[in-house]
Amino acid sequence: MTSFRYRERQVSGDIMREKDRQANQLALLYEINNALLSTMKFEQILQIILTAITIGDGMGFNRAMLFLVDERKNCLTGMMGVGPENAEEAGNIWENMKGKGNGLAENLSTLSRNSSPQGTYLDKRVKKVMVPLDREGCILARTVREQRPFNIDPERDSVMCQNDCELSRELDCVLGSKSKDGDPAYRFATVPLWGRERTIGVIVVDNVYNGHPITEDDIQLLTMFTRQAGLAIENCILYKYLEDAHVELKKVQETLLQREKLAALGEMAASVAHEIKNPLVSIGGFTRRLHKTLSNGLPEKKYTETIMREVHRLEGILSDILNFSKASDVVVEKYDVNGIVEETLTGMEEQLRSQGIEVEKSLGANLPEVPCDYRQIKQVFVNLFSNARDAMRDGGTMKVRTFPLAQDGSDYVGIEIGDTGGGIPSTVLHNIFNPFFTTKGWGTGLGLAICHRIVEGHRGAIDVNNEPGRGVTFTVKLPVEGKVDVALF
Amino acid sequence: MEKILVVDDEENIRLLYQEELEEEGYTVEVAAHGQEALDKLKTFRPDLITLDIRMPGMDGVETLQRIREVQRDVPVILCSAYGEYKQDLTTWASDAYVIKTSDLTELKGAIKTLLSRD
Repeated sequence: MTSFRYRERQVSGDIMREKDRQANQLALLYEINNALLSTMKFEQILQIILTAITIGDGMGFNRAMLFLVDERKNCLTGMMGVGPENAEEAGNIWENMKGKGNGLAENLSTLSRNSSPQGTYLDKRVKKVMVPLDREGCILARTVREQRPFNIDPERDSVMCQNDCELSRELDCVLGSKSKDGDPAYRFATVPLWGRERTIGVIVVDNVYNGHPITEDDIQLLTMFTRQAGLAIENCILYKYLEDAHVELKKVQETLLQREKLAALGEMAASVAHEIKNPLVSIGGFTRRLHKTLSNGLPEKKYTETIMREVHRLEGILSDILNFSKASDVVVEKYDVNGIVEETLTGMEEQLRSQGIEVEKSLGANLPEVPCDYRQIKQVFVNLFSNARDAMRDGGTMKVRTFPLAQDGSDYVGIEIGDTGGGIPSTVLHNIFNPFFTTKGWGTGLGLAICHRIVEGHRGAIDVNNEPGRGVTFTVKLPVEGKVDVALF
Repeated sequence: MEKILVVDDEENIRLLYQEELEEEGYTVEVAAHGQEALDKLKTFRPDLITLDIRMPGMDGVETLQRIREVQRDVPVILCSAYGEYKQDLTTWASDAYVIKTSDLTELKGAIKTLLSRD
């Protein structure tokens, strides 16, 4: 009777423990899931997943590595690795983990926000790994192909990895054999990461430092977890696609708005400028007549000179505005960009020299010719060179570089114009391509807007790299096989 | 002495052109709009015409066509505040296209070239 009672109690004790364990597992999964829901950032999701696998309160593996399937290349690519670098560091980390008291979910998300595995030894190594999916005998590839976990214990299993694969070389773990004489046998496990319809990757775990055996329970828990993790990663990737598409759309919308704004502004500017032009011609013209009648040395001669000079300046501004707002002839032919650069520089040499500006030229040899309107592209260079000049009132160095450039499957010629004029205040940087925006206190504020429009019309791009305190570099890209969009002018 | 007809709707521009061109030794008459220009064509018989493009009513381009119907060979210089009409094919019927500025050197140069051609 007594012994029966005792047995009964023991059995029910086993059941209780089993129930407890299951409850703990569920609670753990729940906590981790909460942490996963706290972010949509790809890196953070990966980090939470791998930290959950390695953290003491979590699943407590020594190291965890995550690989994702690259369908285009038909291979597994290492994305992230989390784990200490050596046994000593491992000890410290586990010590620090203890008694933090906060909930696991909170710990996980704080950890993933505050510390990143990027740059750690393991992470760097993992990121170098690429395993072809069709590789025979590779446990990682088999995990994806057979869609099942592998729990490898060399003392028990005969399943062996190929020796000397990327993983063993990069991660110092000769999978499926002892890493060093005297070390405990290297045990590791792999679980597939499931997405909605396919396997999207593999998680590898090991106990390389403490040599703890990996149990079937461990694998079961890990499998349950990776089902959630896989979905979280897939969601995150989809979300990122969406976000990219959204950003792209926003960009297009901004371009359209900008164009509309420009067109409206252009029309207004043209009619205002036209109304001003005629009176200006009269003022300037009659001042010239007056000027001719005055004998030299009279103070009035200075006055008329001033009027003439100012009228000339105003006329220049007006023609800027009118050229900007109205179409002019576009003649597209193939030109050597270096030729245009050289010609523009020759025209400005004297000004640059007198202002103490040194020109550093490095023009690429054998650049392909670019279809463009000579006059317009020259205008772009004149404007960019003038801006560089104006930024360096006390002298400096203007760097001009031309080079071939391949991007997104198309060939371009790049032209870089850099100054040492201290850069643009970052608060106004977003304005620089807007018409009538200027920081100079003189000029029309049309220079860069004109550049932008011309380059856009050539289906090229103009970028600015601003280093506050140092200088600005503008990069113009012109496509080698381009159709110039005359409608833009 | 060569005769020039200046057509412009702005009185001050007419006056400026007239004085400047007379100083160069030309005989100058002015017209304030296209119709007046067509009328003066018969009475004044100019050797050259400067024609403003933007005018109320009949604009410069239309006036140019009407002038060509009456007198095919008189040189015409189109003047405009800016190059807006440069790619308008109808302006190609003119002999020169000058953008107005307070400095008349370019206009005078064009006049000289056109008059010495025949």
